[in-house]
Amino acid sequence: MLTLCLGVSSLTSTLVNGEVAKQALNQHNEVPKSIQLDGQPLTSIVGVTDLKFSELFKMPVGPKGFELTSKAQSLAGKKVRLVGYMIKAEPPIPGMFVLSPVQEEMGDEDEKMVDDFPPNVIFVHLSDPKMTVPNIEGLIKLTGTLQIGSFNESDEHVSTFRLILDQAIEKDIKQALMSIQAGI
Amino acid sequence: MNLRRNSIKLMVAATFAATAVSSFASPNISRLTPPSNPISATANTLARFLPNQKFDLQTTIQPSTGTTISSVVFAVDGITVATITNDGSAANQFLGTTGLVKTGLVAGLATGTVIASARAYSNGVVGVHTLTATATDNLGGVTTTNGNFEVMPILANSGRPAKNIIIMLGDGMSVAHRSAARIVAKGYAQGKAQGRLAMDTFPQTAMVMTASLNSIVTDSAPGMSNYVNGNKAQNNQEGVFPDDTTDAFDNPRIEYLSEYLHRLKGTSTGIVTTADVFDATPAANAVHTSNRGAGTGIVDQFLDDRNLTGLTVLMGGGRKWFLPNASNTTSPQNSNGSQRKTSTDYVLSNDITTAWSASAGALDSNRDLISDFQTAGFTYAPDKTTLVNAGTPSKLLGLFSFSNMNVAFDKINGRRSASSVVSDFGFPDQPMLDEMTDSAINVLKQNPNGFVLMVEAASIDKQAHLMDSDRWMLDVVEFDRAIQKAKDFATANPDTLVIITADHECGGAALIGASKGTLTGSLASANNVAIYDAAKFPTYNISADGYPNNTDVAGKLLIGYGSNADRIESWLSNPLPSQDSQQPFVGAAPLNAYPATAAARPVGFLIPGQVGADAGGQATHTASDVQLSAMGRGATLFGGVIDNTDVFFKFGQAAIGGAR
Repeated sequence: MLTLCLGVSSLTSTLVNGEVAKQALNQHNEVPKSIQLDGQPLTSIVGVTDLKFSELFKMPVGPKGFELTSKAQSLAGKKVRLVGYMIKAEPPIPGMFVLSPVQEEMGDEDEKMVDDFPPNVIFVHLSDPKMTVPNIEGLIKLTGTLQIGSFNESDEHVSTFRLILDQAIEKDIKQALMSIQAGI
Repeated sequence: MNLRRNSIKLMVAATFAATAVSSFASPNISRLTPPSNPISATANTLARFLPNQKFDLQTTIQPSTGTTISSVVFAVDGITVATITNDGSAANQFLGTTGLVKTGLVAGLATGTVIASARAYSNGVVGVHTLTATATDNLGGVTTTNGNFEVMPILANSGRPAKNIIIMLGDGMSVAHRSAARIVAKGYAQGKAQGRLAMDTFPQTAMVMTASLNSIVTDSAPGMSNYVNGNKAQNNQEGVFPDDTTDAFDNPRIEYLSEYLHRLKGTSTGIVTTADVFDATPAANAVHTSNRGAGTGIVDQFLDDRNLTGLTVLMGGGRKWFLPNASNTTSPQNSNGSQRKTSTDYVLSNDITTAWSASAGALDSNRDLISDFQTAGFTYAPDKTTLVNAGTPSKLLGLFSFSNMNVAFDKINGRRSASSVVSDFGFPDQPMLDEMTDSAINVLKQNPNGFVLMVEAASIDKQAHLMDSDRWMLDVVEFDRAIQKAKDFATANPDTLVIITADHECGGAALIGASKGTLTGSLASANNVAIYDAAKFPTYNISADGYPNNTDVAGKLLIGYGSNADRIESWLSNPLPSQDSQQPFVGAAPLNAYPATAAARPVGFLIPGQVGADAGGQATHTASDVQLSAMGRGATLFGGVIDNTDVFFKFGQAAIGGAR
């Protein structure tokens, strides 16, 4: 069962205590349906290409390191859908979170630059730079616009891949958080 | 005691009146390098060098309260070799080949502590020499400390010199590992081995003590460097003596065999390993650092100081250190997978660069080191196919994986299309160690002045750490095939000395018997071990490729470990190797599904470890002696029970003075 675990949200001016919110969320099942996996094959979406983490880099590894696949290169700037795990960040990072092919925790503030991310993690960006998304356990599907480059992220990471999250999904997540807060 | 300290208090009346408390104290010389024998005057001298081998003199001086150090004088046998005067500033001073370091010191030293160095000293006079450091403070307090070092003889005209030296280094390989490989590869019947490993055919044998400067149990950094510079290093350090600064690249240096013979004879240097080339054993032949983990600086120094070492061949894994990383972060990794960071890079002070003619280095995470190697004339081979097609270039760089190469078990199963492990790692076309050795020799033998080649079978150790018996056994078999290449060359070129040895034992490995009948896997237990008569003679079928076609034969050889961590044991071959934390993709599928440690294997029974959490879930090195074998020019110099540092002086005798 997917659970949405709230750390701290900036949705309202009355921020809730993270532990209380986490308990509350574990009692609710508020993961938006738009990002849930229901165990069924993904239904294709017109104008959106499904992209796997394993399709980002060529295998075998190139003589001078990892190389982008032609599929990844061709999808830069286009709508893609990825399935992965949200990397747990404590505290959550305003305006973004990280999607990974494996379950992993981001280091805390003291060690955040020594965590061991796979090279193909994707930094998911929100249009609301203040919005923090609490941890979501389990696989999720996300749709957005893929960006490829070398990006200096606000948490000092340097990323290769960004996903600019679709507004509709961002809105779904916001509504889920608001309904939880309203219920507390 | 050889270490003798005399404090001479020179007090001027006026000064005494003004600073009565502090003027009675003299500076404290808390370290004098090279380290001297602190035990007794009759014991072997600790620091030993070949005639005119270079090394740094260094001393740490802590002033008494309220004083500052004015000057430091180094003398050898009473003759001043360097005088260093403090200019009174807070800044480090470097003048010519001397240095006075005042910043970047380790914690716990007195305020105003200085570290004085006289770099690249050498002495050609055979015998024990007295090294004296004299420190004077601003109030006239003087402290003198004596130590010693010894210049070892090379007996001239003792026969033809060894033109080439080949060191076959089985990391972690001791008697048990060698015996296991013989049983697997050659078989026994009626009590007799049905064949001999190549390493069994070397005529000379010695047992080697492997302790480091600070422990009976060494790691691979001293384990290797002690062989090739004649002095005991501290654990995690290579090519240097310990010091009191935090900089990993400024420690007092000791000239390596590769540097010494390149300077005296113009030899070339080859370094071949199945590990990441930044790993301790390969680096401890050419790189000077107190931090074996400083990967960026280590790989840079391989190239930067090639004029000191004559580096001509460098092969192994470790591509991740050679790729530019503009972001200087590895979290997440750069899109090319680079692990380069300025925090593991190096910059040398002027005294080192001046005295040693060493490259200054630079903090350059964005360096394209592969291109720099190519610009310096190296042909780059990223895989076996390219290596074969390269023929015999003048210089050769081979980087066959991102970190440590896959082991023989997985490489050979990849070639047989019986396993996807090498493809999971992203490197399906890796050469075997014998193929790398053959290429290295062919490149190096082009130098009419000869060469020094070190070939390391790294994963005998790494798989013994992981208690993956079949994997390290096949790596010994792979190593033996590489030894055959070296032996063939030495047979055809008798002015070549070949030694086989290990830096230390790993795992406390023991051949405890054989499996009983049909292997049980998930039902495995200690009761599956056939002992004594019941063990009989394990029999493996060897394929044309030289390796067993199946390691899970009935009655297979079983291994126990004396320095084991917890492990799940099925007695069967593990289809997947344990995770290697240094692989960039270790956190991603499919490598993330590999067992993290031996205790995480899915099938088998728990064998509780004798080493605890300090070992990180791995078996550890042990302090057991290791076996050394020698053949060729100078082989008769080896025998008995020797210290690992003794080997260096035998190399010097063979290469310079000659041997019969």
